[in-house]
Amino acid sequence: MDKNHIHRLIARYFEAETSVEEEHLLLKMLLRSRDEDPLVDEALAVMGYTRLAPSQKNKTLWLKKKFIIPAAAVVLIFSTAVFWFAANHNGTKYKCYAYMDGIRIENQAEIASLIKSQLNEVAGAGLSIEKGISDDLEDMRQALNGL
Amino acid sequence: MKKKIFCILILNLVTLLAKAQEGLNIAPFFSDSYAGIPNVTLVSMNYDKNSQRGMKKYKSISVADNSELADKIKRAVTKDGTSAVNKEVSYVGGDLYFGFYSLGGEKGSKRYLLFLNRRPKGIEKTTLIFIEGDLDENAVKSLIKES
Repeated sequence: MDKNHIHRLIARYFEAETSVEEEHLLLKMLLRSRDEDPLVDEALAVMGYTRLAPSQKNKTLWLKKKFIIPAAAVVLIFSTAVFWFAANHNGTKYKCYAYMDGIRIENQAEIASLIKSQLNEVAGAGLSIEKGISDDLEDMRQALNGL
Repeated sequence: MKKKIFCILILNLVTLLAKAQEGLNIAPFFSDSYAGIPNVTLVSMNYDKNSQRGMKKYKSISVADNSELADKIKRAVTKDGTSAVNKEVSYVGGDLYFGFYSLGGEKGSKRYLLFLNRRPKGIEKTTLIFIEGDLDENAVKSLIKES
């Protein structure tokens, strides 16, 4: 095989001017002339890399599709299940209950009465604060009027 | 890319777990671990969609003659109160007497804290109420005043 012809093809390959058929032909020529010419060896090394690189990428993509994405889906489903379970099962199967001095109460009427008395107490405190504010404002109004 | 997916999933899991635990310092005081303590009243009420004017959850703890536990609750309320969207508080003699805290939340799940410490009035009794539901501040105040 004409060495000049091979070198011209190699130059065109490095310039990205070769067609697919020319690349196949060049590869055959390079494999036959291996270890005879440093330029041939260089071109062979590069062609070998470009052939290898796409399949490495394919391998990574395959790994992503086969393992990482399903693993991500499993973690997402698991975390959603944990949230749902925690939100709906907070220590007791009954949604309404109370404890007074360690005794469990599940009678809804009794619980409603407990809630009412607690809110009454808080309301009482809130009202006394509001009254205190009103009294203070009234005192200030009278003081201003007296000026 | 793998690291980004992993980080997003971990963040998702942590967020969901935090939400499930309500993320409040006062949350542990509504657990059954306080149910057996003398002079402690615990109430837990979950309402279905169509009842109680938008209220979904009512939880309360009322502690009498237990200043240590009462002080723990007060410290937790004070911490949670720092992140309140809105609050109305009253101090007597330098001690937190009453607190109404609006903690915000998503539509349909707004959260409120009501705290009453009667110690400044000479009564060793502390009540903490947690309300969650589809109701604004005025609705909560109406609920308290009308009970």
